[in-house]
Amino acid sequence: MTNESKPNSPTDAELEQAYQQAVAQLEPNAEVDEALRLKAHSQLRKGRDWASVPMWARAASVIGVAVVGWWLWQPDLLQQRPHDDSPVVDSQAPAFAAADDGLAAVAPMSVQQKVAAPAATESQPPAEQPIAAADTAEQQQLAAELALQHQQQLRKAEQESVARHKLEQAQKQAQRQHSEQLLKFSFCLQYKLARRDELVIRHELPDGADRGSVLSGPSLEWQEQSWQLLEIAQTAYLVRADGDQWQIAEVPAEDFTVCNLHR
Amino acid sequence: MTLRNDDQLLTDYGKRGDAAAFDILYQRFRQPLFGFIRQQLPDAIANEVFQECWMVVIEQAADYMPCGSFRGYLFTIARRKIADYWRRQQRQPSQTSDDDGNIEPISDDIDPQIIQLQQATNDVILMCVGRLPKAQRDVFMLKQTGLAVEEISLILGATFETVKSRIRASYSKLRSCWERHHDK
Repeated sequence: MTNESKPNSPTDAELEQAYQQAVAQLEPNAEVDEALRLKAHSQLRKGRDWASVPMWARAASVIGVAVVGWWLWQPDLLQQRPHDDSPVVDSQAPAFAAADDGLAAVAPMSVQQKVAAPAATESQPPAEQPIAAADTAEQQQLAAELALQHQQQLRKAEQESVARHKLEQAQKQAQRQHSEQLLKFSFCLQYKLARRDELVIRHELPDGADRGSVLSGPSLEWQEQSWQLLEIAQTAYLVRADGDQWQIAEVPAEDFTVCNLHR
Repeated sequence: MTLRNDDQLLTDYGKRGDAAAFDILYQRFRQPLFGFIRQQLPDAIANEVFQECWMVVIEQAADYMPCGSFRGYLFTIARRKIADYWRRQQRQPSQTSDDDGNIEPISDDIDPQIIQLQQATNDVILMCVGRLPKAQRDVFMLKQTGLAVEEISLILGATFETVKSRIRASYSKLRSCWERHHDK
C-alpha cells in the first residue's frame, strides 16, 4: 500500500490501527455469547455418533447392554425350570426358600411366586396338596405367559423406537450432507468464476429451461452480482433477471466439471 | 504444545466432540465477526445475524470438510446472512456504485467536533469506512478481518486484481476522509 505525501496524512498502518481500535469496541451481547456456548455444548451431546465415542465408552456400553440382556433373559429360564424339575423343586422347596430369603426379596415377581408357592403347599393337609399344586402350577404358567407377552411387547416397542430414531438420524444426516455439499459446490464454482473477467452474456433462456424454476437454483456471486445457477443437460448457466430481460452466461465446462466433484 | 489452526479446532469440535475446541474458535472469531456484521446492521439485528452465523457453524460442524479457510467460510456465511437480511427488508444498506452517497450504519449522529478524542477517532474512522463506496468498503472490512486478497476475491466473486485495486482505492479514500474530519 502506498501513502499520500501530505504531512499530517495517516499511514495505512495508522488507519488500520484506528479502525481496529474502533471495531474492538463493538461486541455481541453477553446473552448471545452464553446462548451460543450452551447451544454448541448441547449440540455436542446430541450430535455425537457411535463412531466418535471413545473405545472405552463403547466397550462399557456393550458390557452394559449384555448385562441388561442377561438380566431380562434370566426370569424366562427360571419360569421354565419348575415344569422340568418340579419333583426336585417341590422336595427341596423349604430349604431353598430358607436359604434364599435375601434373593427372594429382590428377585422378579415370577421368581418370588415360584419360591413362595411350594412353601405354601407344605402347610396344607396331604389330601389337598395335589390339587393345590396343580392350581399353583397353572397360575405360574399363566403368569409366565403374561410376563413373556409383556416382555415381547416391550421389546417390540423398543425395536420400533430404535428403528424410528435411526431413520430420523439418517434423514437429518442426509439433509446436512446435502446442504454441506451444495455449499461446497457453490463455493468452488464461485472461486473458479472469480478468475474469469468475462463470460458471453445472452438474453434468451437456453432450450429446455423451465421458466418457472429458472431462479430456484443455488445462488452465487460473479462480478459482484447475484446469479442463480441453472443446469440443463450437463451444462450450467448463470442466470439473473435484469429488469424485463434475462442475463444468461454459460459456465465454462472445465469449471463446472471440477466443482461437480464436490457433489 | 502447538496452537491448533481453525480447521483443526472445528474438526475437533464437530468430529471428536471437543467442546473446548469450539470455545477457542469462538473466542478467536467472536469480535472480528461481530465487528464486521455490526458495521452493516443495526445493533439488535447484528446480534441476531451473529447468532445465526454461529448456529450454521455449530450445526454443520460434524460434516465440515476444509475447503478454503475457516475464516473465509465464516465470513461467507456472514455476508450471505447480511444480504438475506437486506433482501428481506427490500432495501440495500448502501449504493453499489462508486459514488460517495452511502449511508453510515453506525455513525449517523456523529459530530467529531463535540466528542472526546478517542471516541472521536473511533467514530471518525468508522464514519469514513461507512462512507466508502460499497465495493471498497467490502474489501476493506474483509481485509481487516485477516483475510488474504485471494480469499476476498473468492468471497466477493471478483478477480484478484480487482480486489487489490479496490483495497488501494479504499485506503486512499479513507485517508482523504480522515484528513477532512480528524482533529478539526
